Amino acid sequence: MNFYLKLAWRNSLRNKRRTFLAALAVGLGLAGLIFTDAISYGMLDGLIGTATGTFLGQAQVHRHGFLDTADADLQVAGGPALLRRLERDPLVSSAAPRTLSFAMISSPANAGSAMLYGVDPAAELRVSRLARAVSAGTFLAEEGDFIVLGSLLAETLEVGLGDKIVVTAAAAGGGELAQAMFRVGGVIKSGSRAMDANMAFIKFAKAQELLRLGDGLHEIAVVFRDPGSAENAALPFWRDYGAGDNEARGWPELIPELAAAREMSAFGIFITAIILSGIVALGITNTLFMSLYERMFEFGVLRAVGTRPARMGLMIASEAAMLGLLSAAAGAAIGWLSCVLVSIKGLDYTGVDFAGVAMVEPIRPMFRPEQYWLYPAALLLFTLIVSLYPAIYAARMNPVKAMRKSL
Amino acid sequence: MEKELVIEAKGVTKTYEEGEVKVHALHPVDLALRRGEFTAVAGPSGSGKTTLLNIISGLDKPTSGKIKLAGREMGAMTQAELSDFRRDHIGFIFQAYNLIPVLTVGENVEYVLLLRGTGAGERAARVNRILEEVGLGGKKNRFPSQLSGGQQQRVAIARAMVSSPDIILADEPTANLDSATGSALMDMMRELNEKRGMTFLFSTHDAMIMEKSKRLVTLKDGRVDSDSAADKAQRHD
Repeated sequence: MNFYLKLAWRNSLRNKRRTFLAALAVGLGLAGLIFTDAISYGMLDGLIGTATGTFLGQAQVHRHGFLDTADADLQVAGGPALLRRLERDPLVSSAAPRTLSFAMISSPANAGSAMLYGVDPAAELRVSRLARAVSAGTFLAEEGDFIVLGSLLAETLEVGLGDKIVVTAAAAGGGELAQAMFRVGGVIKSGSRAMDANMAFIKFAKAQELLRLGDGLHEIAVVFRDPGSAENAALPFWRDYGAGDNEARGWPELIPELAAAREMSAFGIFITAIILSGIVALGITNTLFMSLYERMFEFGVLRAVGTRPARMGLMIASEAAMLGLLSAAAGAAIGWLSCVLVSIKGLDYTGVDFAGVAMVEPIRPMFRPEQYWLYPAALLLFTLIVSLYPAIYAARMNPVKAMRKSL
Repeated sequence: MEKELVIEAKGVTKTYEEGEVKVHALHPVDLALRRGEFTAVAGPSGSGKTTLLNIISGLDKPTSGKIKLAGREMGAMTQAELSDFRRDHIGFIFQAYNLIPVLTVGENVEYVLLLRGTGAGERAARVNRILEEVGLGGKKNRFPSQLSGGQQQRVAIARAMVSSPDIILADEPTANLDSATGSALMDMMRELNEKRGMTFLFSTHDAMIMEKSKRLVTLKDGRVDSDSAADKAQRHD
């Protein structure tokens, strides 16, 4: 081992209790940062997973203008062919076709408005978790004209499984009203108030027939093999499928509130890092100065025997690096352990809405490689930067004065 | 033929300012030491011994006057140059041994050679040789805390001598030792001086050191009060 590193290591262990406490204090700061990061990303990842996995999909293809108007005539250009292309695309894990229209739903007891989706139950199984959200009945598994209602919508309509309801929607080709009767085949409870109060689902083919779409469709929901693709704006995917009259959008564009929340969260972590850096700076500087004052005479001797001022500074910086390494190791270990422990049960905030999305599962810390290399490396770098002050002090030390001082 | 001058101090003064009070630690002092001398600067506390040694070594700057060490004027050197100069030309022995406690005996001695950029093989050979010479051959891997005071001061002597400097400055080297150990160490240093021709300059108020030194310079109130070499020269005249 390099002589100076050996010297720094042994000096770090000279006052074991002080080094331990300083490393623990700084390490706890790092652990706090790792934990904050893991919880923030875990929460957002859970929300994004809920938002995209429950029904949205990670990306969607529509006809330009459809999302603003929900006009039944604005069908995806070349929809069936585009769907087949998407299903063969190596980036894409699965794709599901949908129709979408505003509808009035009437029961013998009440009436309410809803977003009526025509879905292919088999394809939806691969794209969304709708089938898993069914709290009563099935998700369009039976033959016949069945409808699945959000639980709150079913309450409003005062209907249960097997009850008859009438759906009225504006059909394509001029907006003429079309009507059909369905039996309630299932009720979903997604955890999202917006979904449970406003959504109704019928089979895709029946919806095409009701809305007079022929083989047309309004929306293709996409799930990627790599979820990160949805956020990669540089992928040719968006140009390929958003060409002509169509547009392809990833979830950050479809639910900008969540994307903004993630940016805010990153900013929050940055602020936390700055506050913790202040604590680290004070802790490290204090420890180094205590060690320096304690060994004043020794530093004087080192200068006397010919150690250059720069070398003296380097010695202090090496000790700071040792302390930084110990702190980083302690912090990473404590951070990891706290994340592991919390991930066993998670933090239960189910039912709480954040950025318009309901939490349906407990928040679990998310492990990211950056937490265990970037943050500790930043801590080490920051330690070296703050060590410059005591290092310069040591370098400028007058050997005669230093040798006069002794604790 | 007279040996070359190792130290040449001319008109060296040092005044400390403590608030508005000026303390004259050294009045103009002239001192010349030739290679191979074994000299003690003696005097009571506050006579200026340590100040003179600090100025000679470049650890402190004189208020006025000039110091030449090994032929080089020290007044114009930067801090880094002074560090290199001390490393290459001066060995230090301190009153309180002042070894680095986290380094072993061997590493403490090796440190000076490391500063000089000596290769690992030569470092090891020189460290082993000097430790044998000061009677610590078997204690290379001990830490200072595992040694007696006398043994620690031997390590300090080995550290001072390992790089074969032009001069060894020793500030009250026996002050923390019992008289028997101090006497034995002085005998050892004198033997090294005679065997290697190395120049020693002590500051002391220990009568034993004064007795064992070959030349005695006494300071009183920051002035040279007597110099045995000058007395001898006068007697020859």
